[in-house]
Amino acid sequence: MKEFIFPSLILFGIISFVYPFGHSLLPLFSLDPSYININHGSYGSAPKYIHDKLREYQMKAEYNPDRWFRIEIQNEMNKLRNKLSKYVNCDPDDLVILENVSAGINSILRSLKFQSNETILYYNIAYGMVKLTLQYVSTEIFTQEQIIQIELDHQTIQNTDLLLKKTQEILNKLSNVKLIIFDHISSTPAVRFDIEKMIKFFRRKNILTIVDGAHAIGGIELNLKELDPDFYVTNTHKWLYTHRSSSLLYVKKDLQKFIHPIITSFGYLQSFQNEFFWLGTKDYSSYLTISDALDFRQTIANETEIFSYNHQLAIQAGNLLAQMWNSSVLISDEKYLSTMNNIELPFIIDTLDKMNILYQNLINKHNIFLPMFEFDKKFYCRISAQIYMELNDYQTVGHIVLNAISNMKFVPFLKKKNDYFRFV
Amino acid sequence: MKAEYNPDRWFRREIQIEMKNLQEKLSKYVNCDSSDIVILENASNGINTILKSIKFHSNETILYYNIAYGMVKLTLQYISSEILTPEQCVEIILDHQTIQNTDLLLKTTEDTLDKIKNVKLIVFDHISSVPSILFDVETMIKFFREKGILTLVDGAHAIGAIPIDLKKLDPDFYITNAHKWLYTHRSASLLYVKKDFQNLIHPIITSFGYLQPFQDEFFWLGTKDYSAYLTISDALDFRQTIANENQIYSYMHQLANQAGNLLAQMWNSSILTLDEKYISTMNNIQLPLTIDTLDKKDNLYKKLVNDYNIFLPMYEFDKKFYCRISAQIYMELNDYEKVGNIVLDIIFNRDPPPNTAQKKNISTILFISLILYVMQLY
Repeated sequence: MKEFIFPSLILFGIISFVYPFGHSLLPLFSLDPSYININHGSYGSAPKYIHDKLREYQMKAEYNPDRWFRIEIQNEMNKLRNKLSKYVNCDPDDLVILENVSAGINSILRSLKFQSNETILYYNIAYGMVKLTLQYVSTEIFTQEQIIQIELDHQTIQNTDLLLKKTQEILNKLSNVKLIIFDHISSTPAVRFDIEKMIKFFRRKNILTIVDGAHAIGGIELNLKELDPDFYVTNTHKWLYTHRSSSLLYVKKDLQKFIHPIITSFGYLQSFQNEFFWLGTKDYSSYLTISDALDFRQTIANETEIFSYNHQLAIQAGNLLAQMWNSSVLISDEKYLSTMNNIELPFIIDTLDKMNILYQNLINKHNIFLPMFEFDKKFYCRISAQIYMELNDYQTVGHIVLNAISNMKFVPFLKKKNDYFRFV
Repeated sequence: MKAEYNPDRWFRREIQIEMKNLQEKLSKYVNCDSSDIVILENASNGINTILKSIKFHSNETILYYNIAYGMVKLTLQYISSEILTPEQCVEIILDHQTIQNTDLLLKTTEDTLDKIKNVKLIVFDHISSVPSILFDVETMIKFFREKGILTLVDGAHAIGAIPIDLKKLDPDFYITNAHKWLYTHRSASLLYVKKDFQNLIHPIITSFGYLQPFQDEFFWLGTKDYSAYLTISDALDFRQTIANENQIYSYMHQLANQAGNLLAQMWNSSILTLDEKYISTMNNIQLPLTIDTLDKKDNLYKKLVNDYNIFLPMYEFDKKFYCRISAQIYMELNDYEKVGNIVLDIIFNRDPPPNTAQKKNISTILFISLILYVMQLY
């Protein structure tokens, strides 16, 4: 037995050394030490190392702006694309760096020419910006009937076969579906989809696929050659630790000639790469931190370990909160989760008003930002895991929510007092 | 760092307040209503926003001048191939005479207007890029307004170099880059849209502000780092610590004037504009007359960059070759004298480039590599 304990301790020591995840990593970031960030997924967070590198690039630009913008930046961006394309496994010429996924989605949807009889499909859980862009496109360019929503519920959202079956039902009623846009990892609720299967399904039917992978890179493994979408967008500042903000847009080679950036500038009528490079004067420094973010991750652990820690933590935190609140998690099978989880709020939160009051209360009185949403007639919140988080963080938040709710029991009484709080 | 401390609080609460304060401060600086301006990343964004928002009918025309900035011309080209027809974008040619005489310029414009119907909009510079000319946009805007033509003014070089009074100028659309002459961090710009037209203009990225008021529509354009925008406020403060605005404008304008005259004298050439009221903080000097072909101009440009670390923009206009110099508060006349001499050195093949540092570095690297290699053998 003794011979067993000692090596175990050593092994434990080694593991703690090799997997340093948790609060020990907090000092590497610039977050308020008293702030529990359970919403990393919205805006991301970059380590101090990244900000040092950002400053370096900015100072290089200031040292000799003409040299930076006319000569050096092209070399740096080429190197970056080569490095990034290895990380996501694609040809470096097939990806461009843009400011954010919103720019990528708008570039694609505004570039493609749709015939008057062609249809675009999307799911009800698509991100707000995507739906609004589709609305803009359908108002300004096409007719409203051509943009069709497919409804998913709590069953179809976590079962690829059922999802595709539901999709097929819609397809049977429509003709000339040109394009479908869907998430790799959706936002609210946060669900991870089996997009490899979905892409194959749509390709057999000759439907173009735009995959909104905003939450993907850095959260889960990304292999574009294997997935083979027509268009893919992902934000590097969400889960890859780059400086805000930068994103990747991938366009399949055959389709590159159809896609133009939303800003026309000096690259127009040149190659795909040139067209997307020059979009007016900008600070490219946040793009360049992509390279440093990849290096930073290597100093912490290897990619699989990072994915795994965040994934496991999201699952455990979800189960813990569901237990504390006597509710449930939305997704029963963990393969439909990435690094975020959706937990049903305590049952007393059963109207939109109550949900909003709780949300505001948590921000104003407890400095907790906990995204909440309604899905398929139930109210959920979304938590994000992260390498600097530990399970007890979510336990703390779980208690805070319960406290906040117990103070809300006197809702009719509080309704008057709320006006005071708004001015505070 | 504020954004990093608590990202949710920054993006969901604090940034709105900061941006509102900024807009109030900036609108006082350019004298307009704070709800009529929005902050965008750069002038390219602003130009694309306006030109791609407005619905042009198939019989309507857009006018522009030959000296318009390359990006503007390419955007018009994009629109005329993808959305309209090529005949709908018409160029007006200016030469060295019409470019520096508002009456002649408007006369030339009138000649074009007589031949074309249904002109909906004209794009023109406040201060053009190459060549760099300060136009009397107030007179021009009045001229076009009388004819019911929308005015899109590209004032990329304006803010921070010359006074801007948007109420007085009264354009329909105005764009200017704050990072060029206002000392803000790269990059931030201002887009002004006259109230009556705000409902027609949409940002090139549709996001959460869609179908809401103008201000909201242009605020949320995806996650971005707003810090560069916020430095506009600090840039205005910084300038106050140096001198008052008129002093800054005046120093740069005078320096541009003197530098231009000096170089013209050194090179035995001339400056493009006869009257200094047609330049702002930049000047256009004809290159020494031996530079008389595009090839020679390109060679001179490259040699200056590679051997002397000097970036001097050069261009052809109305059959002559010019360079453009910019004044700045950290520059003095002798800087331009140095550059003038370097250009002459190159042209007359005088002393070898003084900056052999690059060559020294390479030979040092080779030497050290050799030593290391030799050391390895042991």
